[in-house]
Amino acid sequence: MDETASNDGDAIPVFLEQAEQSCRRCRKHYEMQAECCPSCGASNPENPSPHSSADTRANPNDQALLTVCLCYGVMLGAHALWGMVLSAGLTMTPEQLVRSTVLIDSIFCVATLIAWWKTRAIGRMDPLPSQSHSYEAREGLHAGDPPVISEEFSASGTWKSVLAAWLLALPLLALALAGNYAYHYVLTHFVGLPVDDDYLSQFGSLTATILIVCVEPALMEEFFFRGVAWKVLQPLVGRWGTLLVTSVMFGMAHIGVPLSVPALFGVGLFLGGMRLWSGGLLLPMLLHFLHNLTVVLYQGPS
Amino acid sequence: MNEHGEASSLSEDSDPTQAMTQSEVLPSDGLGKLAQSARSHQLGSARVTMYVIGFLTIAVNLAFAIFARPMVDSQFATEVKKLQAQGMQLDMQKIEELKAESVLATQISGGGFAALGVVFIILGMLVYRYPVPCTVLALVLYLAGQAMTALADPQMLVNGFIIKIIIIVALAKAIQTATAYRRDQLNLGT
Repeated sequence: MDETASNDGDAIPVFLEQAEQSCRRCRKHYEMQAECCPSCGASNPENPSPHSSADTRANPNDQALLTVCLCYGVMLGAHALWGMVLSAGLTMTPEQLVRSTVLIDSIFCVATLIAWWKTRAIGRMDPLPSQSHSYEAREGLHAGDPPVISEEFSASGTWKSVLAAWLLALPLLALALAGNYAYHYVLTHFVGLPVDDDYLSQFGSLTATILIVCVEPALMEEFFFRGVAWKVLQPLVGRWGTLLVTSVMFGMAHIGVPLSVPALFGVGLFLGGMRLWSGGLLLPMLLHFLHNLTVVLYQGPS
Repeated sequence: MNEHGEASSLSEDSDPTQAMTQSEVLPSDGLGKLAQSARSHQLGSARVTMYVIGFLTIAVNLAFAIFARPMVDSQFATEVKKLQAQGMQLDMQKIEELKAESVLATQISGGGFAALGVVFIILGMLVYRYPVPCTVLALVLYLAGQAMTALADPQMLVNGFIIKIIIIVALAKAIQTATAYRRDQLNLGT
């Protein structure tokens, strides 16, 4: 504490000075007995924790990140296994294909729910977007609890950006679809590689195709990439880093169609941008569903 | 003076990490700097891992792309001989078309994976500047690349399996090191 404060008529009484101290990082006051600042997690040099920031095993953010990576690995492994089974030359009826796809997607859903459960202690879904980050204590937080980083709620312009996101969603989706189509057109007609994505004949019925190709990815992929992974990554790499990393994860997750990965990276950037702009998951989920539905209906049956 | 009676020469928008003056540097910062130095060394190991992965990926996949035609020709010749030995009639024009498509697909996938190797090298170069995003992206790209390779040829997954596990563990440890490094950077105000 600054010595000059004791000479000032407005200085806090001595017994209060000793009970609290100022965090050297975020400048907020907290109890001297605490091991770290409850707002930003900076260690308390007066009362160092045996599990300091140097001990990464105790850090919940690191554990959450590894949980997300593990879940992602499980998802990749499940899809790779399914692809290997399909390419082994087994002929499946549409019903068998639907059942095996549902099984693989169920593995991904379970892994996502487990990742969500294990990372639920890491903050909360961030509220409406704002101009800057700030370290703020969550209500009811006690000294020693995991730090929470929440976005500052900016009073000016937040509802405007959400409204703008919803109003511009469909035109931007049209642009994203145009980009996707242009990429595949170039791949097919100029490079000469056939891209075969005939969903309707694969799954046999429009209902099954819409549920498997449109509804499930819109719900679970968005929940994982723009929900769980986003929440875990944002405190570590910031908003734009999270947008980039989750878009790469999203694109690379589609290993069944490796030639489409660059286009899907672009779609991931679009959906992540809408997540950032709207501040929630509803808009990206709707856009993802509409995007996939458009692709399925455009392809049509062979 | 602010509302708590402390002398404050900072504006509200200034970076709190820059607020530490000489008198506020605490003895524990010496230990913090030592820990950061150790982590910096560990991040150096992560950088070397990414460089090795990058250069190996570039070398192997460029070789695939360059020698795509002879490889595809020899494999097609083996399969055609096998089918003809079974007495099957083959449409040679269709086979030539398939061969051309296979060569193109091999060259494009080889080029694509070589580009991935370049990305690994770039991530290694930027690991000190952006430790967490670079290490996370490295692990994500490596896992996805291995999954794609396994999809194309399951035998490739088994080849060098132990080395792949070692690389994955090394990249996971690099992520832990990177997050701790970044946290220590913020704590020390660097």
